[in-house]
Amino acid sequence: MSEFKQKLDKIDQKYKTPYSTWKTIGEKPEWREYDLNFIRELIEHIKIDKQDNLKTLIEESKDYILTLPQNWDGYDADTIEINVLNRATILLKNVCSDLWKKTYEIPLPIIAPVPDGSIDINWENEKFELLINVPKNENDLTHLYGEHIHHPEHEIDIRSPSSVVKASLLDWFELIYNISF
Amino acid sequence: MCQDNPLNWPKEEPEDYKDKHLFYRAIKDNLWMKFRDLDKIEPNFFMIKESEKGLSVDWSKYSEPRETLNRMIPPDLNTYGIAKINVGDFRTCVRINNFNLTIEHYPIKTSINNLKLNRSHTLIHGINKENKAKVRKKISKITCWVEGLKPIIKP
Repeated sequence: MSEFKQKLDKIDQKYKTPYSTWKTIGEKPEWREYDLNFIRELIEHIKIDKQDNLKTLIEESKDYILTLPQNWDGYDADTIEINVLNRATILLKNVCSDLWKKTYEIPLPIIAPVPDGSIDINWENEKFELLINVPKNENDLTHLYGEHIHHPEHEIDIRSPSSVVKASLLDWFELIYNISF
Repeated sequence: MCQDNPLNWPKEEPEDYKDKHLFYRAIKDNLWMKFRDLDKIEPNFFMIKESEKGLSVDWSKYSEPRETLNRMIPPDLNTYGIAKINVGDFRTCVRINNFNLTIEHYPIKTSINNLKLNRSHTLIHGINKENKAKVRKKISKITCWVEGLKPIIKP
């Protein structure tokens, strides 16, 4: 049984009070009513799970990317410096933290090394595709390219200083998810 | 014969690249070994160092994909996969997206520094800091593995 399922069962047992009831509505599946505290605790566990998954992704990426040797791509690529990866992962954590407060539909991206010494953060799913390229030189601009599937008018293709990248990203996600931050 | 002397290989014009031709590129394991889904081509497969002249590919007019693999060290599918891009699709992608990408035939006529003779060698110019996210994303969408030369992920 997954760790998450175990947590879910614990919460379920904790809240089996007279206020949690089963209802059958006609031929529809049973619905369970939970009190607000249950919902809040469930949301916290989902958030923690996502945070744990993100942390694991970042740690695995660091182990792999920072040990790449010179010429790791066969075309003389340079090694990836730790400060580049740190900038990328900090940006990712900050963006995910804000996104997950509002919606749980943002999957984890791929963190990939790029032969010019930069880092790609790449999302691809049914709703959107987004590529963030964090440059090797921190004074260079971070490049964002994104597509909202079936909405070409929402394409984003900008280069921003690192200080405003998060705001640009959240603006774009607000647009495609029609939510407010 | 003169034509077989690499030093006599002529440099061909971009117009000689027909739409039906293909570009081949060897993609090393460090670029894909952590991806579980190897059916996808990722944008990080297509980037060069700033000091490089352009993105190196082989031209199908003078190279079979197996030859592209055999030029790599080691020449095996545990280390390299061979990806292909149709030249016509490339041109369409460039036109639709208004990319400033150009093709230059750049045959390697002498073997130096581990480079092998390669009449098919071609450079794609124009991927730079200003456009690299969108360009690489779009190119990844028109690229696929050559049949039978998809890399093998070690268990």
